[in-house]
Amino acid sequence: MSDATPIEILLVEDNPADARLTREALREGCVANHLHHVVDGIEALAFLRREGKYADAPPADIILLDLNLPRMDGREVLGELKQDPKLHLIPVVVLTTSEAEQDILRSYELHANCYITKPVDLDKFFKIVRTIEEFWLAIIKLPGRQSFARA
Amino acid sequence: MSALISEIRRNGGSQAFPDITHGDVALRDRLVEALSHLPTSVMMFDADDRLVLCNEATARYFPTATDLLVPGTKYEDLLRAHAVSGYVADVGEDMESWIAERVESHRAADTAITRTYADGTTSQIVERRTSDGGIICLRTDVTAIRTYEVRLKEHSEELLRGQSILAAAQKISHTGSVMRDLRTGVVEWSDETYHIFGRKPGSTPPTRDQVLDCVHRDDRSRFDAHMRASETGKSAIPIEMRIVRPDGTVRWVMLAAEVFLDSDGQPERRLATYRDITETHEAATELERKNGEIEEYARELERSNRDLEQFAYLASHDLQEPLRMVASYCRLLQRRYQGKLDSDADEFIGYAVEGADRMQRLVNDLLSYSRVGRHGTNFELLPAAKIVETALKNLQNAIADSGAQVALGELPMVAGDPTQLVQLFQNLIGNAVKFRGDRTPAIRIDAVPADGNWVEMTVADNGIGIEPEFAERVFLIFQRLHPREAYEGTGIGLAIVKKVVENHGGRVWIESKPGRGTCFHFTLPTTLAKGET
Repeated sequence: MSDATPIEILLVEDNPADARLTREALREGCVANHLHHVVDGIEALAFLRREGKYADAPPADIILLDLNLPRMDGREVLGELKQDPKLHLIPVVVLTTSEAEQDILRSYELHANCYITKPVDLDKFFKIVRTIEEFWLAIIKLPGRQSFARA
Repeated sequence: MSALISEIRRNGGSQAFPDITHGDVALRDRLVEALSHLPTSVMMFDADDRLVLCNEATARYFPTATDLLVPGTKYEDLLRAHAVSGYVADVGEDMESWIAERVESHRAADTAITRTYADGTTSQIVERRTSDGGIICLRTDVTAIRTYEVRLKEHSEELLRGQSILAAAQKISHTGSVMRDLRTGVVEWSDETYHIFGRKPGSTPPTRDQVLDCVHRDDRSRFDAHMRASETGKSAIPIEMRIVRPDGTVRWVMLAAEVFLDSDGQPERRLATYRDITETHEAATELERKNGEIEEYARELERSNRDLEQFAYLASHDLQEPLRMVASYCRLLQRRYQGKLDSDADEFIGYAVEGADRMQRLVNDLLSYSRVGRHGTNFELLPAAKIVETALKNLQNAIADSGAQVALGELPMVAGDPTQLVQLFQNLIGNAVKFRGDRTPAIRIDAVPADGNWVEMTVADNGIGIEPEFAERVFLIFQRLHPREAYEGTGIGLAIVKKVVENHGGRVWIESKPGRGTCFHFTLPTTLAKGET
C-alpha cells in the first residue's frame, strides 16, 4: 500500500452492480483511494464543476466513465470535458461493455486517455482495475502532471 | 373373203346392205365411212348367229382370231378361238361351260358386261337384238376409264383413311376444326368440335351468332378480335378462352384460326381449330397455385429464419450483461468467502461459478455464430493461401503446443468475405488440432476445381475421426460428440463452418474413418457473382 494521499476517483456508472464491482476491485487494490459514484453524465459534470450538492466535492484525479448512460451519455461527457479548460487534463478511462468499433474510435476522437472493455471474467476485471492503478501511478510520475498528484 | 364392212362394200356385196342398195348411196358411203373410223367394234350376226359384217376396229378386239372375221363365222366358233388363244383372261378351267354360258348370254342379247383381256385391256360388251332376228354386238375399249376408276377407288380409300386418321388425331389431341367457306358462308364442323362444344356430332353446325353465345362472356371480345385478326391473312397468336357448353360446363380451349386465300389472293376459307386444354389449364393453374404457396413458404421460412437469427443475436447480446453480473458476483463470493462458510456453501458456490462460466461461453459462442454474415457479406477475390496463412497465425499457439504439421497444396483464388473465410479455416484447422488423438497432428489443405466457377477444398487430418452416423450432426449448433471432460468446447465451431460455407453458396460435408482421421470437404466460389464487389 502506498502511503500517499488517497486518489479521488470519479466513477460514472448507472449500473449499481457494476459500480459495486469496481468498488470491490479498488478495495483490493494497492492504491489508497476515494471512490465517488455518480449515475449519469449530468451528475458527473456537476460533480466535476462542484455545482449544487457537489459544491464540496474534491477535485477528481481520474474519471472512470461508462459510455451508455441515461440523460447524458459518456460520449457527450467526454466532449464536454475536453472542451473545458479546467477539466480537460483529468485522465479519463472509458470503461464499457461495448465492443463496437465505432465506440472505440469515437472515444479516442474525443481524447479519452484509455479505452477498456469490461471483461466478462472477474479476475480479468480485477486485473484491469490494477492496470488503472498502474496507469495512475505512471501519471503522477509524469513531469508537469504534478499538479494532479496531491503530493 | 372378209366380213369387214369396207371390203364388203368394195366387193360390191349386196347382201350386207339389203336396204341400202336401193337407197341413198351417198348416205350409205358416209355411214360406212363412219363405222370404219369408229374405235368401238361393231359386229352383226344373223338369226343363225353367223357373222354378217364387222367394222375395222373389230380386229383390235379379236387379235388372236382375225382370220375368223369372215362372213358366215359362227359366233360360237369365234368365241372358242378367242378363248383357246388365251386372250380372254377370265375363262377359268372349264372352257366349254364358259363358252356355253357366254353363247347363251349372247343369244339372250341383253348383254352388258365388262371383260379384261390378257394384254391388260378392258372392254365393255353390249349386245342387242336387231329387227331381223340377228344380234348387233358392240365392244368398247374402256381400259383408260377402268384405270381411272381403279385410281379413283384407291384415292377415295386413301382419302377415307386420311379422314379417319384426322378424326382420330382430333380425338386424341382434343382438337376440333371448323372450316368456313367465306364466300358461301357454309360451315363444316368436325366431330371433335361438336364434342368440345358439347353438341351431338352431325347436328346442324351453330350459326356464327350461336357460336359467339357459346363463348364465355368475358372472352367474347378476345375471340372476336382473334377471328378478325385471322381474316387479315396474318396468322395471329393462338388465344386461350372459355367455352360454355349447353349444360353449363365451362371448357378451356386454345383457339387458332387461319384464312386460306384462293389463287387470286382473295380470302376463300377460314380454318379455326379449337383445342380443349381444360385439364392442362387446370393442372397449370394448380401448379401455379402450388408454386405460389411454395414461394410463400420459402418467404415465410426466410422471414422466420431471419427473425430467429435476430432473436439469437439479441438474446445472446442482451444476456451477456446480466450474465456478467451473475458470473462476477459468483466469483466475488468465491474469492471472498471460499473456506469461510461451510463445505456445502463452498460446493454450491463452486457449481454456481462453473454454471455461470459455461453459460457465458455458450452465450458468447451463440453471439459469434449469429454475428456471421449479420452485417452482410463483403465479397472479394483473394488468394486462399493468404486466408489459410492468417488462420494459421491466429492458431499459432495451439499449433506450436501440439506440434502439428500443416501442409498446403496449391490453393486458388476464391471469392468471399475475408473475415468469414479466415474463421472457416481457423475453425477447421483448430478442430483438427483439437481432436488429434495420440499422434502428432498432420493436417493437409488442398483444392481441386469443381463444376463451373467453384473449387472444392479439403482440410484433412489424422485425428480421432468421426463415426459416419454423426457426419451430419457435427454441423449442428451446440452438438458435442464427446464428454466435456475429454474435449472442451460448446460445439459451435463446425456450425460456424457450415454457416460460412452456406453464406458463400457452397456446401460442406465430411469423409471420415474413426481412428484414421477426418476430411472436411467444402465448395467455394472462384468468381464474384454479379452485384458483388
